[in-house]
Amino acid sequence: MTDLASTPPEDAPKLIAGRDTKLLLAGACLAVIGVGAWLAPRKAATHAPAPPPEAAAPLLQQEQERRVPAALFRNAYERGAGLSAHVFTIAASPRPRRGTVPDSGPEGDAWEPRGYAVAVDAEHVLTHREALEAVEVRLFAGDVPREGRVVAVDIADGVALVEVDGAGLVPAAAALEPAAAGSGAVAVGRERGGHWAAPVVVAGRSELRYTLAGFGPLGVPGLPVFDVDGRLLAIVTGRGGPHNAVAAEGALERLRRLRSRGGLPRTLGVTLQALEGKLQEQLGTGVLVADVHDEEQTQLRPGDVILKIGPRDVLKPDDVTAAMENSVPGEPLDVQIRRGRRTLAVKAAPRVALHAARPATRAVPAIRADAVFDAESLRAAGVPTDSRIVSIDGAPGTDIRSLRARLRPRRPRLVLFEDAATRFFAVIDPA
Amino acid sequence: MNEVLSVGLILVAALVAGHAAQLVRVPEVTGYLIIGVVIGPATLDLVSHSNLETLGFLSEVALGLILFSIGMIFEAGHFRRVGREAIRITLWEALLAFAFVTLGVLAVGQPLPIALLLGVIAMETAPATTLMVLHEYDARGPLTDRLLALVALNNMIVLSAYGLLAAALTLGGGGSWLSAAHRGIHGLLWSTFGSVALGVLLGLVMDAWSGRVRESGESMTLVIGFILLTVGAARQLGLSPLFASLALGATMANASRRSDELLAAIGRADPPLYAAFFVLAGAELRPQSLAGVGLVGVAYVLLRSAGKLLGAWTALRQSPLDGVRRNMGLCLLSSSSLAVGLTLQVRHAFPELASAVTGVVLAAVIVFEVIGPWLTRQALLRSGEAQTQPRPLAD
Repeated sequence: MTDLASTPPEDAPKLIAGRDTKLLLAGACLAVIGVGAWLAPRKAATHAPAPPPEAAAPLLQQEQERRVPAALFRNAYERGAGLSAHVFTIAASPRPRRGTVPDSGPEGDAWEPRGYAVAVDAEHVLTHREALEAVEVRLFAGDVPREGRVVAVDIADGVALVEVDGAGLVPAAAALEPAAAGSGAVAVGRERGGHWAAPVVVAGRSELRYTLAGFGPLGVPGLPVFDVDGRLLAIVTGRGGPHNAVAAEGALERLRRLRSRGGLPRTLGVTLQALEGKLQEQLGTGVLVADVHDEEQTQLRPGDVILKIGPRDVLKPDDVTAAMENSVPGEPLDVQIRRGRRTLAVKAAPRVALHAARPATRAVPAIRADAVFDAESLRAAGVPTDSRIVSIDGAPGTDIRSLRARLRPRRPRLVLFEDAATRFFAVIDPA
Repeated sequence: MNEVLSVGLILVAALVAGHAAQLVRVPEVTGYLIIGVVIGPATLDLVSHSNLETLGFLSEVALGLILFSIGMIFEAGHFRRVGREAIRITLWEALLAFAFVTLGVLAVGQPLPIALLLGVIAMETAPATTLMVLHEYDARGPLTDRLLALVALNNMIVLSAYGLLAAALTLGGGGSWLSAAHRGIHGLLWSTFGSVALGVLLGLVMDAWSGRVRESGESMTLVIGFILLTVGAARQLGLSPLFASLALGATMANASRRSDELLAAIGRADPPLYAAFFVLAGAELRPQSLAGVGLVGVAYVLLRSAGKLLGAWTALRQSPLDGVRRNMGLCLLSSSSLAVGLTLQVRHAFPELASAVTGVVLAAVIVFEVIGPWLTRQALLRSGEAQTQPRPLAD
C-alpha cells in the first residue's frame, strides 16, 4: 500500500546476504579464475600478475576517535548566541492565535511556532515538512515577521526548502565533513527575545541520517544542529523518534535537484496499491486505487486500475508519482483506467500536498473480517483478522448474513478492507 | 599538443557542444560526438592520433563506469519485475538484427565469415549512448526500466555470440584441430565465466570495504578505484573488461546495502568522464569513410534498423503497455563503443577479414550515433518518461 505523498524508501533483503554466502561465492570465483588461468593456452598464460594500480592504494583512513569536549557542555549557550543569527522560528500560516506563546509577533498577533528553520543562503531556509502547514509560511527571528513559500519538499526525508521574501538572510556555513559517532554538536533554537542551545552528542550515523543524544527539546522539527566548529550539520526531523536528524548537505543537494523538477509533491488525492500476487492475477497490470480522499478532485473511484497517465504507462505507484512531477497543479490529467471490464478515460487533477493524503473522517465499517472469512484464508492473504469489511466484489456489506450469502459459489473474491482508517484490497480464497 | 592540453580542450569543447546541442534540441551526446569529429584527426586535427592513443585509458575507465552503472540494474527484485519481458525483447531484436544483416550481406556477395561477423556486431545496442540520453532526460518509467535491463542483456548476448563465433571461426582456421578447439572453447568460456567471476570477486571485496567508508568523497574513491581495478585486472588476465564491470555492478546491487549511495556518489564524478568518452569516440570517427562503404554499408544500416525495429515490435505485439510497445524499437538503434571494440578484436584475431568488417561498422556507427540518440530522445518524449526537457540557453 502506498500513499502518493509518502512513498517509503525500500529496504528489501539482498540476494547475496550473509557472511558465509559471500565467502562461499568469493571462493567459487577464485576457483573459476584459478582453473581458467591454469587451463589457458600457453600464450594467454604468460601474463604476469598485475601489480595493484596506485589508484587502489589504501582508500580509507583510520578514523580517529573524537571525544566530546567538556567545554561544549559548559559553553553551549554562548556558542548558540553566535549561531542563532541563522535560525528562524517557523509558523505555518497567518492564523493568529491569541494567548499562545509566540516567538516575537506584533502586539495582539500571536503565532504558534511549529518548528525551526535555518538559513542556507541569502534567500532560502531549510526546515522539515512537519513544521509546515501550507505552502505559504511566516518566519520569525525578531519583531518583524518575514513571509516565504515552500519551493521544494523531499518526501523521503521530510526536509523542505523555503524561499524567503527579500534577500539578506545570514546563511550558516555547511559542515566540511559528516560527523562521526561520538562527536559533539550544538542544537540551537529561538525563543521569545533570544535563543536557547543544547549540547548534543552524535550517537550514531547511518548514511545521511544521524541519531542524536542530549537533553532539551530536541524533538522540534527543523531544529538545526551545528558541529563544534559552528557549521550546519543536520536538521532534526521530528519524525521517527525525537532525536533523528537528516544531514543538511545531502538534504540540500536533493532539494535543489527536486526544485528543478517542480519541487513540490503532488497528489491525486487517492491511496494507491501496487498490484502483486493474487491481486495481479485477478486485476492484471496497473496500479489499484484503494481509497479516494477527495471525490471532487478526481473521477477515480476505489477499485479502479490506473493504466496510463497522459502518454505514460503505469505499472507501479512510483510511475504515478513520476507522471505527476511534470504536471501542473490543478490542471486535469488524462487518466486511462480499467473499471470492471471496461477501459475508460477519466480526468484527475493533481494538487500540491506537503503531507501525506489523509482519508476523510468516516464511520468505521461494522463487520469484522473474521466474522465472514475463516482466519486461515485471511492469514494467507496477509489480512489482519480484526480488519473491517467495506465491500466484496464491489458490493458494500451491511450485515454478516448477506455478506456470507455473497460468497456462494466458493471462488476467490476481491475484498476491500479497512484497518486503522487505511483501506486496502485483497483477494480472499475462502476455504 | 600535449595530453593535458588535449584533455582540457576535449572537456571545454564538450561543454560548448553540450550547450549547442541544447539550443538545437538534440541530445548532448550527439553534440559531443560531432565536436569530437571536428577537433579530431579527421577534420581539424587538434586532437591527434597520438593523443587519442595516449588518452585511450580515459575511454576504458568511462566504459567501465558505464557498464558498472548498467550492472547495478541487475538488482534481483528489479530484474524479477522486468527481466522476463526484457529477455524476450532482447532475444527477438538481437536475433532478427543478426539474421537480417547476415542474410543481407551474403545476398550482396560477401563471404560467410564476414557476413557472420557483421551480423553479430549488428546485434549490439550502445550502452553508453543509451544511458547518457536516459540520464540527460532523467527518464523514469516502464520503458526506461525495460530499456536499461535490455541494454545490459543485449551486451552480454553480443559478447557471448562474438566469443562463440570467434571459437567457430578459429576451429575452421586450419592447424591442429585439438589445439584450435582448445583455444576457441577456452576463449569463449574464459571471457564469459572468468570475467563474471572476476567481477563478482572484486564486487564482494568492494562490498566488504564499503561498510567502512564514511564520506561521499570516500565512496567515490572506492567505486572508481574498484572499477579501475576490475578493468585493469580483466585486461591483464585476457578477460572482458565489459563483462567484468557489468558483474561488479550486479554484485554490488545484490550484495551491498549501500549500493544506492555508491551509485549516487559516482553520479557526481562521471559527467566529465562521459563527456571525454564521447568526444574521444567522435574523434576516432572518419566521416570520409561513409563514401567508401558501398552497397554492403547501406545494407548493413537498413537491415540492422529493420531487424531491431521488427524484433522489438514482434516481442511486444501483445504487451498492454502502449508506450513501451510503440517506442521500444526506436531506442535500440544506437551503436557505438562495443561495436568499435569488437572491430578492434576482429582486427587482432582475424586480420584477413578486418578491413571489410571495420570499414562497414565504423561508417555505420557514424550514422547510428547521429540518429540513435535523437530517436531515443523522441521515444522518451513520446512515452512521457522524459522527466526534464533541457531548454535552450536563450530562454
